[in-house]
Amino acid sequence: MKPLQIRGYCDRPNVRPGESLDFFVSSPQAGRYRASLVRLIHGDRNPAGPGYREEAVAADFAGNYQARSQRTQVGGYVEVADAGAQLAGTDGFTLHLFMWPTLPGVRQGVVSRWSDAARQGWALVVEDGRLSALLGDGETVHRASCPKPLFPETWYSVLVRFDASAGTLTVEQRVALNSVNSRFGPVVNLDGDGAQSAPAGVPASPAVPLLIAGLAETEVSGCARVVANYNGKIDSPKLYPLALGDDDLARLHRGETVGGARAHWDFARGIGRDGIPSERAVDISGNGFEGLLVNQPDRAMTGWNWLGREEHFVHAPEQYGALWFHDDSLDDCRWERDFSFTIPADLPSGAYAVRLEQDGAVDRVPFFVAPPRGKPAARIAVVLPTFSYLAYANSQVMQAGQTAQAIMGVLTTLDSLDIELSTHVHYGLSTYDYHRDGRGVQYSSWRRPILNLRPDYRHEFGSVWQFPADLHLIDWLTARGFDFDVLTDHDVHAEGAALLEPYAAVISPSHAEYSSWELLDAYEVYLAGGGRGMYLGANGFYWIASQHPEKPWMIEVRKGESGDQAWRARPGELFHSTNGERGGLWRHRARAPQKIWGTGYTAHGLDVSAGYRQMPDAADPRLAWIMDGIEREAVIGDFGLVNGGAAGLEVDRIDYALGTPPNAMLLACSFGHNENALLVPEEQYFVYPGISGRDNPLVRSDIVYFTTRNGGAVFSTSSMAWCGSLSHNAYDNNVSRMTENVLRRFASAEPLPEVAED
Amino acid sequence: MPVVDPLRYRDKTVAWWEFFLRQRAAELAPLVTPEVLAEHLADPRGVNQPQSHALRQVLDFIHNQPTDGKSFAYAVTPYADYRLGVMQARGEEPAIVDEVAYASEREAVHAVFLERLRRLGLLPADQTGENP
Repeated sequence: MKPLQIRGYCDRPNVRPGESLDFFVSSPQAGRYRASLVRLIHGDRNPAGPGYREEAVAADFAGNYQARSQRTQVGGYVEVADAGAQLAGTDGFTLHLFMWPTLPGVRQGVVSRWSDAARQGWALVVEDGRLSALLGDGETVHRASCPKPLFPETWYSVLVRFDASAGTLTVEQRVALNSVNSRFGPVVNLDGDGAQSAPAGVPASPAVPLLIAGLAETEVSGCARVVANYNGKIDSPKLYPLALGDDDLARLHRGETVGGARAHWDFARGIGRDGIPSERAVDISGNGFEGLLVNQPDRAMTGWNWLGREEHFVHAPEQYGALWFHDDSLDDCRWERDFSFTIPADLPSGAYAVRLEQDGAVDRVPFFVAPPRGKPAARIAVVLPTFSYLAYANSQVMQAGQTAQAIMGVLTTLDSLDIELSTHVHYGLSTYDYHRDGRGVQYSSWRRPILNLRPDYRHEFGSVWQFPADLHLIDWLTARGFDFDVLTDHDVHAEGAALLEPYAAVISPSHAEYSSWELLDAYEVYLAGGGRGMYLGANGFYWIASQHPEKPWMIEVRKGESGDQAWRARPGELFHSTNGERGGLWRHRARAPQKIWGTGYTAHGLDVSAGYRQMPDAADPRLAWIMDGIEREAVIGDFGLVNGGAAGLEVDRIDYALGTPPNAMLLACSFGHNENALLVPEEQYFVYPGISGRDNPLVRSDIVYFTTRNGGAVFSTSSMAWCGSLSHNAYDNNVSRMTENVLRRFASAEPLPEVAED
Repeated sequence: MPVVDPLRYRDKTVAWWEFFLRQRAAELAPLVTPEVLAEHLADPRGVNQPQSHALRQVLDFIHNQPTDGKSFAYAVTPYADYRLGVMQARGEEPAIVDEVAYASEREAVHAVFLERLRRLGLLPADQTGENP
């Protein structure tokens, strides 16, 4: 097994000449490392293909740097500064909150103003499956522990009360479940209420912040190191600077307001029509103890008082006062910067990487350079789907997914990158993974080493995927002599159709699966206005994604209620916190990909690919220019680097009911898919036998062409494997020929004849 | 009697899983013939020709087993040098069996297949399956 090695990341995926990128590097080895710039061309090391290709490019940052190990804080929490020690509770205090633990067997800090190293302060913790209140003066830790263990995914009302004059510490929990807010309902004869009081002395006041969902280990340069991160939900935590009386305690248990709080954090405060895209936890006490959310706890989560009759948090914010914390969430590694790179004015648009090398170990940190604003350098643009790269970032599907091998139909092959990912939690997870407490991951960040974004990474089920797969296209464009610009989802999301308009042809490569509303708008406006689009992938424009407005290096995804789902949002939690809109599939929001590209996701077959059989439209004389050089009876793409065919992994087909244009021409359909190629869930209503490629005619990839307004057109090959066949036989093959026929014509100024009717 | 402590309750489906596993393995054992082993060795994915129904049934069964403890092919050098590994719980380093090196992914994946068959009782431990 390879030891840990040098790794890096940059602050965002996309950049233009004149703009600057920051790079962050960490290594477990002392000494120096070398940084340099490379242009990426082909990543797939499959010996049947062109092999790995990159070109060295001179850059001003290139040189040797001092290596250092940088710490990553993982786990979500809320940090509240308390330099004046007003939350220290030394004169007595009452803490109340609602909580819904997910891993109660693990030691966790729920709310604390506690130094775990010095054992000073106060804390509400989970220990051995039970709640305990701690008071520590540095020598003695006084403890009161609830006698009743916590059930996972069950709401409790929790109180901690320290009466300084009486010298007593009390912790109390009461079950607060209803028919919908917890794992099980009122029919269970649950006896979970309990309390304990114990003698206690005045706690010390350590120089640490108040933390919600963790314990401060120590403080370094004003930044708390947090341990014992909590897993689960917390709702409405509030702190009073005195020991409240019994009447007030009863009111708090009922969820009623009791005045006089020193701090009262309302996690729903700020919810508006655009969701709650904020990293602030608002203190509604009026005392200004605003909290900062670190590592992106889940927002817009159902709270203790959720009644199940409203599923959209924007419409019932008072029932969405919970944050869901996970001890493995990550929004930013927050390493110190090693160097910056200002993109020179003459650096061509393209896919690049900073190459880091130390003692034979190499890491490549990719980024994508767009042309200068308003100055496209080519007639062709490739839009790399960086939202999808983020969705898959550091996915560990085959290592962790119980059914992954059955889905893929293969026994997995892992390499050192996979092992590094699964054994080191500080790289964070993808939206295909589950947090340790079983919740699907709904946020993904660029600001961390993303090991499956390395150009030569090969997915654990044996194929290149996402960026390494898109390099198949970059290589082919380069080999065939096309001039092209590289754009990203991040660019198009921000700038819309205006960014695409100058280009004669825009290509979407292998797997642009995750899209924002803005991205769909951009393509739709571009194509409707006379643009020419080539969709050389599949399962594109499928899941709804949104960009975090305050942290544009992050996206949010909520999966459900149907689709090829790695996980499914819990009831009441399908709406995005970052924009307030419904998550799930675009087809369920009336924006099926068929409306833009003619085809949409229909089946996956990840073990074996197939070729295409020509349909009658392939002989239509109006399309002869597409089929030029391809024999009428030839099978198209029964070869390739991706499982032996151009139609494979995931495939799309036309569907008139979902918006395929009536004038779409069907040139070819893939045939010969096997029993592991299966119809996707949203295509099934009842389950039934006969949904595989052997039996079902809906399991296929369609090659489609149609014209739009103003000389525009769309050509869709509808398969993730298509680009993996381009290099076959030294780029001389019918997949390459067809793609080139279309691209040269699309990129030319020559008008396209309208194909309006059969 | 109220429900008080989550640790006092076990997952009753464990018994069902054990029963199902035993029953299904007994049904599949006769399908693990020298011909099926040879078919897998020659073309583990069925890229060159569709897999036989027998092999598909056996593969579906072993693909569906829980992840922890599953064996996998470990690429020391992709396309050149492979070992057999065993998955551990998340955060734990998998065990790599270094004794046998495989020069191709096909051979390594077949070794995984045989290891899984043995573990599930579908291939006697004394049968290597290498030369069916």
